[in-house]
Formats: sequence, structure tokens, C-alpha cells
Amino acid sequence: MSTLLKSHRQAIEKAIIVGLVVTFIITLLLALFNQPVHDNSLQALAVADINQTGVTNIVTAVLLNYRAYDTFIEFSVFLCVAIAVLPYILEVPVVKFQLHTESQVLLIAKAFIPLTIVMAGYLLWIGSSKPGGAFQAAALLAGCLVLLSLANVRVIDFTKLGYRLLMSSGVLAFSVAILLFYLESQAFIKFPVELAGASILAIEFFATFAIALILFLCFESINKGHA
Amino acid sequence: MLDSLITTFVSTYSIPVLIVLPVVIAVICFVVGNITLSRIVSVVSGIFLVITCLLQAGYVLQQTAAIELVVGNWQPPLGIRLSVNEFSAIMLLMTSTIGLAITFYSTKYFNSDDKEVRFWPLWWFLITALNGIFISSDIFNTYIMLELLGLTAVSLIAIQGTQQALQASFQYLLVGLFGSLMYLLGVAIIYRTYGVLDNQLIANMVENNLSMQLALVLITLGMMMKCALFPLHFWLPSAHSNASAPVSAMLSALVVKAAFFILFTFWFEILTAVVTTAAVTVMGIFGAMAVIYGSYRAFTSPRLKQLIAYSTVAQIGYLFLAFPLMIATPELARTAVIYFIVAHGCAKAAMFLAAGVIQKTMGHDQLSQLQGIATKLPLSIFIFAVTSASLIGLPPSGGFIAKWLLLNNAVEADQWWWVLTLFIGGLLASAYLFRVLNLAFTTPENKDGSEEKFHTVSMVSESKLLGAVGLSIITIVIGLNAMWLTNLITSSY
Repeated sequence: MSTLLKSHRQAIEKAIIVGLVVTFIITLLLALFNQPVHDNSLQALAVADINQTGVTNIVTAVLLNYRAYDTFIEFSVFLCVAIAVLPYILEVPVVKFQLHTESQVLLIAKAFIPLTIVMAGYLLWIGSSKPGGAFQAAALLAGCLVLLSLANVRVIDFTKLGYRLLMSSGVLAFSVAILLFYLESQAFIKFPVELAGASILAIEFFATFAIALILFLCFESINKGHA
Repeated sequence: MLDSLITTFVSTYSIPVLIVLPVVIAVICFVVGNITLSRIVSVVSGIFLVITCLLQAGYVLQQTAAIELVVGNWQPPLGIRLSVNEFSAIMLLMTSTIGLAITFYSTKYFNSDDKEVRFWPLWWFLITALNGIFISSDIFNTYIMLELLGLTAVSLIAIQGTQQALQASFQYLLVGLFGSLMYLLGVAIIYRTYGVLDNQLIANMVENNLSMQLALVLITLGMMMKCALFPLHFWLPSAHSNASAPVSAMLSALVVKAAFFILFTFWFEILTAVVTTAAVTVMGIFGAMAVIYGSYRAFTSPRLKQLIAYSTVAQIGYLFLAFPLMIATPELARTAVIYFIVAHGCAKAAMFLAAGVIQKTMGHDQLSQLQGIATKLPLSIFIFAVTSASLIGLPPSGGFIAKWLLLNNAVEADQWWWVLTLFIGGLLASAYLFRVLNLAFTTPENKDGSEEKFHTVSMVSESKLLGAVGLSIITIVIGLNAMWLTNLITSSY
């Protein structure tokens, strides 16, 4: 019996996993078909109050006003990842970077980066009324940095205090906004209606740079961190 | 005058302080990158957090009313509600107190600047996440906090940098992500059905149907993984025993308790309509198995920190013994659970800190070579002994009261068979803990060279254990003042 178990161990494991997954899927489907979907009254509520949020795009309103607390913690999650993957904090090992003049990647970079930065700016700006915002803009900026890094241009020295400050600027700007408005109105994460649009844009502006840097850092830590 | 000031502080400011302060400190520690400054800032704000939580707990337990805060004045279901009830107030107080003890210890623990410079910001994010879980009253917000908790815990294990630590942290990352995703799927099912995310609103609407049963199963599986309930405990011993001592202490004392807190809230506050007697009994059986299996593995562990980690697996089991008792005698069982969490948290944190000193002094933590350390490290062994008494459940420690409450409760609920687990668990705990103490007090045999080797490790400062001494005193004090504490907890329902 035990030898049989040993020799077919993989097959048995597979069978168990397949069995569990199938049972789970069947239960999930049954559960979903048995229960009607909610009446979506929440969306109506969100739309009804949108003129008090300072933005007109409902997704941005949810992310940075109704549930801004979640986003605040989400920024902290990003920063925490940055601290974990940052290859060197105190001192940097000597690595020589050579600039290959006119390598093809550099050519592409030269052509695309200015355009991409403009696009990122537009995405950030449009976030208040249409789909867009800090995360999308940051992804574009990070793309620029990756392109530069592939062209062997060293733009960022992560051991510098300034870059650490920039990486935490999203959280920092958010904290400052929270503290200022808290002292004024005694309400936690409440933007006054007339300042809401501006504060959300300011927070998103800093968050864009922070997230872009952190995304790039994740790329760098795999690419060069262990060199 | 002072009274009204305190009341205003607690009711309006104390909840945001619990989140904003740790985040700001984390950012400061990260940006400045200066160890001396990080240490000073951390100790000062650690003390401030303890005072805040003390005032808050006093307020909540005296007023017998939860403090509530609606974020951004957007009433649920649109916004997020935060609340501190008696359970979370005690959890928060425990987090800040144990946090302060470990903070103090960590200022003198690390011998590498690079490790320490990473440690402080991650440490404060970990405290943010713990506070966030205990105050959250929104199931999606809890998920975000879980994410922060998981990532910081993984990173904190990984900064140890050894091969085993990296492997353990990677496994922990995968387990944690899997657990979080199960939780998220459960949340998605709940949201699809009722369209709200607030704990209270869901509790008012929930009915016993297949969707909710599935949601509860998913959330339970996810949280069982995160709090390492047998048989999903496999990742815990390597993760907790390979991390650095302050991190192990925090993981064992608080991080697993946060997952338990969520699980407990879901079973007995949010999805109560779905919970059946059969389900709670199954959880109780898992708990009983965890007690016996964990204790057995602790007894056979070759390494000190591994022994303590397996002991955590066993002690988590006791918490689940309260599940079947929650149906018959909810108030008693709740008090027992809260008491047990506090007693175990303080004892386990202090024990890991003492083990850290032992490991650092000896250069290893192989049990077979720890003979006679009691003469070299008297304070560490003293802490180990006191906390052992609490884990075994000897009077007058907090652990004794916690077990006594459970025992009393099991008899009251006519489910005497759980008492057997308590006895067996206590006996096994004394077996594995006395194994260490016995070795510590044995004089090592004089072999050639061994004497000399022993002298080289004799000069070690145990002053960093001040916080751990504080925690072991707490385990005794809460044992001696048991009536006062249990009355406070019970009267606040």
C-alpha cells in the first residue's frame, strides 16, 4: 500500500488538486447563480455626491475622496515595497556605466521620452474628469526610465536622499494634506469642497513621481541590483 | 479640565493618530536614513502610542461604548467607518506595548547598519498595518491593511539576509498572497450579493445562503493560512525561526493575532447568520489538533527558536478551542479569547527577545549546546522561565488565568471534552519548556577547549532586555489582577 502511494505520489497529488479545484468552481458557479446581484444603489449614491468631491470622474472620486483612506494605505504599500527591494541605501558599490553613444535604444529613447512625458502629464491632468490619473501616468514615466536604463544611461542614484524623498513624496503629500485639513475641520481625510480638486491634483502629482520611481526601482533591482 | 481634554483627544484625535503617526515616522526613518535619529524618533513615538492607546482603552472600557470615526464624513456604505470597541482597544494597547518593548530592544540589537536602516521604516509600516486591522470596520479596507501587513512582514524576515531567511520569506510571501486572495474573493462574493462593505451593514443584511457559506469558507481558509492554524501552519516555523529576534517576536505575538482577529470578527460579528454548530466544532477540532501537534513538534525541535515557533502553532490552537464555546457562552468565551491573546502575546514576545540574546551570545541556537547558559545569561533565562510559566499555564501568570477561563467556560458550556486538550497541551508545554530550562541550568561537562570557548562569550550586555522584563512582569501582573481585567472586559459588552 505504502509503496503504491509512494510510486504514484505525483498522480495522487494532481488528482487531489484537480478534485479540489473542480469542487470549488462548481460551488462558486452554484453560489453565483443562486443569488441575485445587488441593486447597485451605491453607484447612485456616489454619483449623487460627486459635485462635493472636486472631481467629475467617478473612479477618481472613489479612489481619492470617498475611499481616500484606502489609497493612502495603498501608497504606503508601494513605499514598503521600495524599501524592501532597494539594493543599497547607505553606500553604492562602484559600478561603471558607459554611455554607448548613439546606440539604437538611445535613439528610440531620445525620440520617445519627451513625447511620453507630455502624455504622462496629460493623463495625470485628465484623471479628474476622464479615465486616467496618477497610476497610469506613473507607468508611462517608469517606462521612460526603463528605456534610459536599457540604453545604459544612469539617471538615478538611489542612494541619494533626494530620491528617497521623491519616492516617499506621495505618502508625504497625502499626510500633509490630511494633517492640514484635520487641524482645520476636525474631520479625518476630509477635503473642503472648494479645495478638493486642487488637493487631489497635488497629491496625484507627487504620487506620480513616487510610483514611477518605485516601479523603475523594481526593474533596476532585478536588472542591476545584484551586479 | 484635564478630563475634558482627554475626552476630546480620545474621541476625535486618537484614531487618526494610530494610523498617521506610524506612517509619518516610517517615512521620516526611510528618508533620513540615519540610524541614531531613527532610534530616538522610534522610542519617543512608541511611548506616545502607548499613552494614546492607554487613554483610548480606558475610555472605551469605562464608557462601555465604542469610539467611532467616519473617514471623510462619507457615511457608509459610501465611505469607510473606523471603530474601536473593547476587543480592538485591548488589541491596540497590546500592540503598542509589545511594540515599545521590541522597539527598545531593536535599538541595541542590530550589528549591521544596512539591516537597521531598512528595519525602522518597515517596522513602523508593520505597526500601521496592525493598528489599521484592529480599527477597521470595513471588509475591503481590512484587505488593504492585510496586504500592507503581509508585505512588511515578508520584507522584515528577508532583511535578515541569510539563505534560510530568504527561502522562508519567499514561502511566507506566497502563503500570504494566497491567503489574501482567498480573503479578497470572499469579500468580492459578499459585495456582489449585498453591495456594501461596512461590517455593520453586512451583518444587518446577511442571510444563510450558499454564497455567504462560500464566502465564509474562503475567508476562513485565507485567514487560517495567515494565522497558521493546523493543518495550514507549515510555513510558520521556518518563517518565525529564521527572522531576526525582534521580528520573530512581533510575528508570533501580534501578526498571527491580527489574522485571528479578522477571522473572529467574521465568524461572530459579520457573518454570524452562516455560522453553525458543526462549523465551530470543526474549528475547535483543528485547534485541538494544533495544540497537540505543535507541542509535539516543539518537543522534538533541535533549535531553540524553532521550538518557540512550534509553541506558537500550539498556542494558536487554544484560541480556536474558544470557537465551539462561542455559541453556548459567548461572553465568557470572548473574555477568554481576549485574555489568552494578551497573555500569549506578552509571553511569546518576551521569550523570543530572550532567545535572541541567547542566540547572539552563543552564535547559534542549537539546544544540545546550550548547557549551563543560566550562569552566563541570567536575565535571559529568568525571562524565559517566567514566560514559560505563562505558556504552560502555571499560577499566578496570565497564561494560567487564560487557561482557567477556557476550562471554566468549557465546563459551563457542557463541552467538557475540550478540557482534555487543555490538560494535554499544558503537560506537553511543560515538557518542551523544561527541556530548555533543564539544559540551561546543567553545568557543561569539562571537555578540552570547551571551557575556554565558553569564556569568550561571557561579556554580553543584557540591558536591551529591559522591555522584555517589562513584558514578563505584565504576564504576572495580569495573572494577579485577573478579576479586575476580566470584569472590565465583560462589563463592556
